[in-house]
Formats: sequence, structure tokens, C-alpha cells
Amino acid sequence: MRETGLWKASKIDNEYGQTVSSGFEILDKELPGLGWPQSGVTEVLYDRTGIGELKLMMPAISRLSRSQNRWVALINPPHIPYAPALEHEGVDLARLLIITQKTQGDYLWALEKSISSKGCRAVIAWPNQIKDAQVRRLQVASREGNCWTILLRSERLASRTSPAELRVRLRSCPSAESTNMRVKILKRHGSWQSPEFKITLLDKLHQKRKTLTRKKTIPISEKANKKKLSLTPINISRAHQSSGI
Amino acid sequence: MESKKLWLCLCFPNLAVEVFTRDRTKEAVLITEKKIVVFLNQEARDLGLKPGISVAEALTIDESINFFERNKSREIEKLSQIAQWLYRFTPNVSIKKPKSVLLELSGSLKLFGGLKKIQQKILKSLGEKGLSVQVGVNMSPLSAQCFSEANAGKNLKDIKASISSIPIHILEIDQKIVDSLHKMGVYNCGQLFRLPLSDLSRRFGGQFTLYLKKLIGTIPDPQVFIENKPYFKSDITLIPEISDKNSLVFPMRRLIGELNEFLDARKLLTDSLLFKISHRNYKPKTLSVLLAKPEKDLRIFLMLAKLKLEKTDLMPEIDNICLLSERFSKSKDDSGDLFHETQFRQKDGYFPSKTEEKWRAQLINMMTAKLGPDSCYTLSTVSDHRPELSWSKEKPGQTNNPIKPSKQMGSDKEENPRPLMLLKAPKRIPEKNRSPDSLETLKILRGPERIDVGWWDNHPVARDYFIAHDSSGALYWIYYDLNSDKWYLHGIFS
Repeated sequence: MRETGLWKASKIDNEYGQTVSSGFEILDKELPGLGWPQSGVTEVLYDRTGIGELKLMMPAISRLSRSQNRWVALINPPHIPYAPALEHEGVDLARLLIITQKTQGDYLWALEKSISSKGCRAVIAWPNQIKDAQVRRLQVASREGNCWTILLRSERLASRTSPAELRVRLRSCPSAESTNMRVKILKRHGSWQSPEFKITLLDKLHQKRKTLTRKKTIPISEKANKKKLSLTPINISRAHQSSGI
Repeated sequence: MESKKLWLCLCFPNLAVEVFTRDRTKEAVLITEKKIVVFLNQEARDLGLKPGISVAEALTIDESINFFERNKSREIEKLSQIAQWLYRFTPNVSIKKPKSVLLELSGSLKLFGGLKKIQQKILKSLGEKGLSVQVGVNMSPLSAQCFSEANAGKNLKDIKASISSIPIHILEIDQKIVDSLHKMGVYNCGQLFRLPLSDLSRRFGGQFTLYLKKLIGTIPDPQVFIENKPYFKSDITLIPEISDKNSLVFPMRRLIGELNEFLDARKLLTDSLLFKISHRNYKPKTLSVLLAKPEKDLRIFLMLAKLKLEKTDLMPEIDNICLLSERFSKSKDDSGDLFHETQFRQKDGYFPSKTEEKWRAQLINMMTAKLGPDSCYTLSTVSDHRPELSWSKEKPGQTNNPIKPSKQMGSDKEENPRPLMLLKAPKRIPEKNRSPDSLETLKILRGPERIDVGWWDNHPVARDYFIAHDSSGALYWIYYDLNSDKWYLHGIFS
């Protein structure tokens, strides 16, 4: 194609090698330039916490934390980013910076400054109340600071427009048997919306589970066994939403 | 014979006033001791005031005059600051109380291009600092001191001849001796040295002739030189007082400029600045600016100080601001790289690692200045089986080598994955029969993993951990507490 002087708009970023592989082939194919962008705002809209919304970013984040000498910053994470799990994902913990603040004003300040400071390679934030104008500011800051900005937001925003450059919607799979996640790219450079496709994050877990249930070798505490089917969760996703600023 | 010494003495005749007025205020300032005016500035002199009058008298002349009680310790402090600054010219700097600083310059002449150049540099800079100074140069420490007090310029030849016209009351000798010498008709050093030393010794004691011998350099006069212990303190008295904290930025900038000069002279970096803001009627406020990495960049200091200032509530009036810095480290390289500041970016999107390091530290500086020292941290793993204790916070940039999990641990993780998010405190999961309004049912996917440790310290844990999912497929890390027979949510596989 190169010889003919033709190129696809969707491959334009690829020419400059400015993307980071997401670690999932099926996702890479759909992302402009075959990977996550180096800068700009990426909105990740998810319907429930616990579906692997962060895990999806981990292969790229882990690579960025190791390949560059800049920070990967988490701004006011809703819970404790759990070091053993992050380490297991291959993240260089010495490069992972957590920034916490108390007020909404400080939150936006810290978010914008860490993005524009050039000190961060990537910034992940969970903003609850952020206006389009503010996202636009972050978009500019992110270009300036050459920083990939990931905003993890509620799936309810999917139908609204946003100044974010790349928007990805994640939905849980109601089928209880697998932890597949349904992914749809809502907005991207050089192309229309993608069809919805599935990504399997914890397939190993399921394989193991099958062998375990077959063998039944691990003794389960009796009381736990009795009660396990009557468990109900509190509404975690709502709790999570309120803990972020 | 050892090489000839060259002593330069700086005398600050108005030091008592200038420690308060270095802002070169246009207002009259009086320094008092026990309600009597002892020093005053030119503006006060222009009003016709003189030392020796009482405060009440001065007030009858002008009500708006500023009074300060003399503060000798502040004068000494000022002298030591000046001495620290002069350290750039020679390591042999000595403080002569109450108002002089002495330098031995014979070793520095070549480096700085001669005495004249050094003198010019010193005078220019002291002038900028708002200090009036008299210089004396001579071949012995005491004679240089006399020269500076008499403002007699310089002498590089015979000491005895050079001081012949110096009046004896300038010498550092007992007032009684001066009085009796005056009665004898001896008024200057020329007349004094015409008298035989042995007779003077008999008449006024050995100490006196010892002093004279040191003065003319016939016996050595060893000096106590200042220690090379870096310490920076400088302050500005604000006349008139200010009430708007934004106008503090200007004196701040000046103090930071001085600190920067100090750091440059000593080839040092600092990672902590302490501003002390005070007013005589209020409790002083301190404002500490801590940096992630030692720096000397004026702009960074100023930006951080401004951020800190924004965040701090100050008293309604401010009359003094002081900058302190005590923690220093050696500056490694002084010459920047060839592409310094160009933020040269390579084609693959990578930046030179040094620049990146600078940006990284700057971000931490900015965040901690505005959000507090605990607002930024990195993580590390701790080898403890209890999930809530198997991680810890670290100061950013402190962790050198992340502890690699051993192989066995790795396979263990494969077997029992950990969630990316851990709840700050485990959350009770209500059981169905107790809370019928709960929405969904959790199903256990994997488990149990028993964690039963810590009975030996104050945090015993006996839990069976499970990985569970709800009907939508979201994964949770829950445990069954063996002691309380209750279920808890502990983590989310985000």
C-alpha cells in the first residue's frame, strides 16, 4: 500500500509508532494505530466496578512504568491500589505514583498539573463530576505534557458526547460462567464506532476452577460452605462511585 | 618567613539600624536602648535627631518615627550571614564583634584578579543588600580593623607608619587607658608608638603592649575563622507592615534570590526551605517548602513558595519574613549538558533520562507544596500474608530496587490471584435472610485460600478467602472470618 502512496486514515498514527500495545490482540486491532495512544484523553466508560476495567489497562500501564523514566500516576483512586497485585501485573511500583487530595478544586488542579507537568507518562483518574470544558482542558494539557490520560467514568455517559479523543465502553457479561467483558469503541480517530467484541481477562481462573470443582481436594470450611449460596453483595459499584471525588 | 598576609576588614557602622531597614526605607528609623536613642538612619538624622536623646524627645519632633529596640543577637546573626557570603572569596573569614568582618585575602588575589576587583565586588553586593560599609586593608588583623573603623583605605607597606594618624580611641583598648593617654597628650597612634613599649607595659600592663604588638604585626595574631558549616538565614523587616499576603511574594523572591546566591557560591543544593512569617503581636507562622530532590533553581523555589503561600492562612499583619535553610547536599555537576533546557525529544518519543528525572521531581515538589507532604506516595510490597499488611506507602523516589517476588510466590499468585483494588476497610456483606432488599447473589468462583496468621502479634487474622462474582460478572475478593462467622468484602478485581 505504501508503494501506491495510499494510506488508511485509521493507520495514520501507526506511521509514527506512537501507540502502546494494549496486550489484547482483538483490542489492538480496533484501536487507531494498533494500540493505546501516547497522549490525549481516553475515556473508559464501565458499568460496574469489578469487571476488570483497570485490569484491561494493565499490560500497557506495566510496560509504560518500565520503559520510561516518568511517573504513572493514579489520582485519588477510589480504593487502595493493591501493591502485590500490581506487582504481579508487572508494574514497576517505584514508578507508580499515588496522589491524593481532599477537595474537588485540588483534585482538578492535581489532575491537570500532573498531566501537563511532563512528569507523568500516564495518568489514571476516576472523576465523578467533571465538565466537558474541563475534559477539553485535560485534552490540551495531555498533548502538552505528552501524557496519556485515562478517565474511568460511568457507562451512563456513553450516550452523551465528550471532548475525549478516544472513548471505550466496557460492559459486564451477565453470563455467570465467564468473566468476559464486552468492549465497544465509541469514538476514535479515523474511523467509526467499532462493533462490540468480547475480551477474556481471567480465563485462567476459570480453567482452574473447573479442575478444582472436579477434584474437590481443598477442604472448605464447613460454615463457609453452608452459607456461601445465601450471600448477597452490598451495592459496591455505588459505594465506589461515591468514594471518588 | 611565611608569605605576607593581606587583611581586609569590613566595618558596618550602621549595622544596628540596617538589620531593621535593609529594605532601604525612606522612613526615619531609630534604634533604642532603654528608651534612649543609640542609633539612627540618615532619614532620622535629616529630621534633626541625634543619638542620646530619649524616645519621648524624638516623638515630639515627629510622631510617625519607627522605633526598634536594639537587637544585638540579630546584629551578630547578620554578621555571620555576611561572613558566610564572603566565604566565596576566601576560606579565612573571621567575625569581629560587634560590627566587623575580617578576611585574609593573600591567597585569593590571583584568582579574583587583584584586591581592587575583590573590593569592588564586595562593595557592590553589600550595597545591594542595603548595608553601608567601611573598608580597611592592612597587613595585620588589628590594623586592618582600625583602618576600616577609621575608613582609612588601604596600606600594603609598613604598618607602624600607616597607622600613625589613627586616633587612639579607635583602638580596642580600655576607655581608662585612652583617657590617661589623652591626659598625657597622646592622641594618635604615631604619638603612641613614639613611646617605648617597655615603659607603656609598666604603666598600662602587659595586655596593652601585647595588643600593640599584635597591631603592628610583630607578634602573630591568630584568628578564629568561621566554620564551613553551611547555614542560610536571612530576613526582611517590612516597613510599613503589610496585610496582604500576596505582597509577600516580593520579599520572598528577594530572600530566595539570596539563598540561590549562597547555594551557587558553595556549590550546594537544598531540599528544604523554611519561611518564618511573623508580627510582634501574633504567633509566628512557619511555611515549609520541601522538595523531592535537592535543587537550587530560583524559579522552582519561588513557584513552590507561592503555592505554599496560597494554601496558608496568615495573620492579618506581617512585619517580618525570614528564610532559613539548613539541609544541604553537594551539587554534583555544575555544567548542564549541551542541550540543556532544550527538552530535546528523540524520535521514538523518549526524553533524555536526566530531563525526565527533573520533571518527575518537579511534579512531586508541586504536589507536596500544595497538597501536603502525605499527598504523594508510591507503593511497595511487604512480605506478610495478611492482605492489609502486605503493602506499604513509600516516599516517592525512595524505593531503589523493587523487591522481586520469589518464584514460589509468583506461582502462588497464579494460583490465588489478588485484586487490583483493596478496600480501605473490609466491608460486611449482609446475608440474604437478614437483608431481603439486597439485589444480587454472589457466587463463589474459587477458594478457599486460608490465611491464618498473626496470632503472635496484635493483629491476628483467621480468614478463608474466596473469589466471587455477582450475576453481572464483576469479580470480588471476599473472605469468611473464622472468628466472627461473618462475611466481608475485601477487594475488587477492577
